[in-house]
This record gives sequence, structure tokens and C-alpha cells, in this order.
Amino acid sequence: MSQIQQELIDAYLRNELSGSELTAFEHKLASDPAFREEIQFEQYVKEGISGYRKAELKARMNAIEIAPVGFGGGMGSAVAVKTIGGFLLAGILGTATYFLMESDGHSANSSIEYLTGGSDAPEMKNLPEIVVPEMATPSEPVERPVIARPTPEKTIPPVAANPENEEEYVPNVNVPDLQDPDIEEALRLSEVEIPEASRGDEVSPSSEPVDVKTEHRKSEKITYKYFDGKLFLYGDFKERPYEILEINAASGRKLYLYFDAQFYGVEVSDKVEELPRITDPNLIKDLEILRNNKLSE
Amino acid sequence: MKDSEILEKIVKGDERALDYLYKKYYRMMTNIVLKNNGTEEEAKDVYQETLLAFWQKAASGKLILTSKISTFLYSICLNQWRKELDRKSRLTNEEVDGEEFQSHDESERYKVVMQCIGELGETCRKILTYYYFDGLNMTDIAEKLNFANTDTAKTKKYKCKKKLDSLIKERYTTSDFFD
Repeated sequence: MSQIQQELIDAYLRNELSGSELTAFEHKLASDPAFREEIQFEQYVKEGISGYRKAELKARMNAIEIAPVGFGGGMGSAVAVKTIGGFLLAGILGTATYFLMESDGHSANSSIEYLTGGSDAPEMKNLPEIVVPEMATPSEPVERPVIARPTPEKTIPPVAANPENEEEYVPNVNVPDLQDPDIEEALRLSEVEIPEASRGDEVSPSSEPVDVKTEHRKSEKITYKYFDGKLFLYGDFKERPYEILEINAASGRKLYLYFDAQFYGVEVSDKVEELPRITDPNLIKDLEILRNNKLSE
Repeated sequence: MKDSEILEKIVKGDERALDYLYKKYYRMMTNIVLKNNGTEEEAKDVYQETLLAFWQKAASGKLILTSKISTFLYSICLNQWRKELDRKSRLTNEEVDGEEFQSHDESERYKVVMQCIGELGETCRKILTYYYFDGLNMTDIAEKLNFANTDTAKTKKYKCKKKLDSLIKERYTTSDFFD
């Protein structure tokens, strides 16, 4: 399999294909059993790689120590810590005060004499009142202090299965239900329901400049995705430059791309899509004025 | 750390963000399971699965967050536990046997691939896992692994994938793998 073929399959499995490319790919999948088997193999390998990575990340999380439940639950433990801390503080303050008193002209011997009832017993002084911090009784569950020993710089060894001890390693992963009848659905099922992003959401409210990243693709059309202030452009930009135009209106920030003497509109989208060309003559005129003003600065 | 900072780190594949989230929301999320007939072990599993689902979506750059991270995690966690409770309540003895048989096959397939991944070099393992699970783009992977440029990283990824495929196919015929 060539690199280009592999990249196409990867793009399909990552839901990055769209338009005619996607249609052609799905058509081939439906009509060519050998190709379908190959894609199924790729899907299994991808799932295996995902399983490996999940095991790695789980091992990382398991290495993080979380304070155990119990001892009255979260609340009890926090109160206990504060109570003990309070007593310790009181003890330290008391001891410090005692020694401070001692250093006011009284030796250790005289202390002993005092204790044994000697004649040079120091005068009893009123000890200063030790203020014990009030223990706050939390009315809601309090987050227990976490005694964590993370090792962020340490490389977590990958959890590789040892061929000699196969029974030790049983990955605990959610596996997709791969029933045959609807292969396309099986290949594109997501394991967890995560709310889908909607197109055309508000553009990033940030006033920071748009972060633009380009990737070279040998294609006449330009595809893109834009979200959270980041614009990804896929096209042939090596020999012909592009310009980004920004209009800030009351409704929000609008972006346009000028490339190869054409204007294109940029809308928020988390899927790779073809960049739509602007055809409204009035808008084109406004964008030309904007562009000319920008060039003359 | 603010939510936006956490997301920035995740997009770059910084695993310390995962550590941070895990510790910060452990109690809140595991309580969902514990207060709904779950054990501590089940709670930990569900929370880890939740975080991994969140990590995968966020790292790929496909997540548009319209609420706080904690709210988002909470809803995934709740969903995950509800599904698990439904699954447990639907299981009969026969279904348990059937499900174990199916899981065993799939678990065998995972083991095959995981054994072979374990035999790859560290760079190959990282490229493949960052690409196929984390969903990082090749530019970010190139930066993270200090490749000269994106094209070099792409070529390396292709070679690593080809090596992995051949390791799997050397040991198992296609029919064995599918069966």
C-alpha cells in the first residue's frame, strides 16, 4: 500500500473525508469486498493501537494516588486533618511560649527548683492566652487534600503484553459491537455519546489574531476547518499566496480568505469542509475595498 | 489552571493536563457511581473511561466546549454509568456467556495488535498512538517528537504503520485475524 493510499484510508477512519472523495471511497467500500476487508483490517489495527494507548494512559492515572474514601468520608477526613493541625499548632505555640518565659532571666536549674518547691522559685506569671484557631465545620463536602505522587517527567513504560504470560494481560476496554450487516455503521460508531458540535456557531470571542495553519495538498479546491480561533487550511499555497480578511461587526468577527483572485467565506466548523466561494457582488465589492485599504497601509 | 489552559495543553498532547483533571475531579465524578449502586472500582473505571473519551476528543481538536469542563465530564460520566447499569440489568446467564465469547475474540485481536506494538521502537509507538488515538495532526506530532518538518513525520508514520501491519500479518493470516 502506498503512502497516499494509507493517508486516504486514515482520513476516512478519522472522518476527515468529505464531498466527492468520501462518496468515491464509500462506493468502493460497498462494491469491492477485498477493499472492504482491507479497511476492516485497518479498523482493527486502529482499535488495537487505541487500546494500547488507553492502557498506557490508564496506567498513568492509576499511578496517581488519590486519598481513599472512608474515615467518615471526605468531610470527616478534612475535619480530622484540621483538628490535628490545630492541636499541633497549639502545642507548638505553647512550647514556644514556655521557652520564651524561661529565657526571661530564669535558668533551667531554677525551673527544677520551682518544680521541687525551691526557695528561688520564679514568680508565677500569667501565661498569655493561646488562641486556638476555630475549626470550621464544613456544611458541604470538602475536597480532601490529595497526597499525590505524580511522575510527569517519568516515562510510563508501555503496558506491553508478554507473550509468555498471556493470561496476565487482559485489557479492559469498551469494544464496539462489530456486527456484520451494516459495515459502514460499525466502522464509524463512536464508543461514547459526546454532544456534536454545531456548525455556524459564534466565532471565537477572543480579540486575539486568528491562528492559521496550512497544510499543502495537491488539490484545486481548498478545504478547511475553523474553531476556537484556529484556522486550518488545506490546499496548494506554495506558489500562490493567500490573505485573511477580518471584519469585526456587532454580531461578531467574520473571516474571509482571498486566494487566486477569489473570496471565500470562513465559518466555524470542526469538520474538514470545502471553503465556500463568495458570489454576492456587493459583498465582493466591500471585501475588495477592505483589501485595498489593507494593502495601502 | 483555567479550562482554556487545560484544553491548550491537551491539544498539544501534554499528559500533565490529564493528571490534573484526574486528581481535580476524582471525587466529584466517582460519587456519581458510588451514589448509584456502584463500587469504588467501578467508579474509578467509569471515571477513567470518561476522561479518556474527553482526552481523545479534545486532543484531536474536534471539541468545541460550550460549558465548563467539569459539567462536560459530569454528563459523560453519568451517561457511561447509565449505560453500564442498563447493560448489567439486561444480562441473563446465556447473554453473559455469549458476551464473554464475543469479548474474548475481540480481546484476542487487541492482544495481537498490542503485542506487535510492543515490539516497535518507542518513536513508532508514540507516532502511531498519538495519531490513531489522540488524533493529533501530523504538524503537532512533528513538533512534539522533534521531527524536522511535517513531511518527515508523515513518512515516518507511514513506515511505522507498515512495519506494524507486517508484524501482525507475519504471525496471523487474515482469516485468523478476523476469526
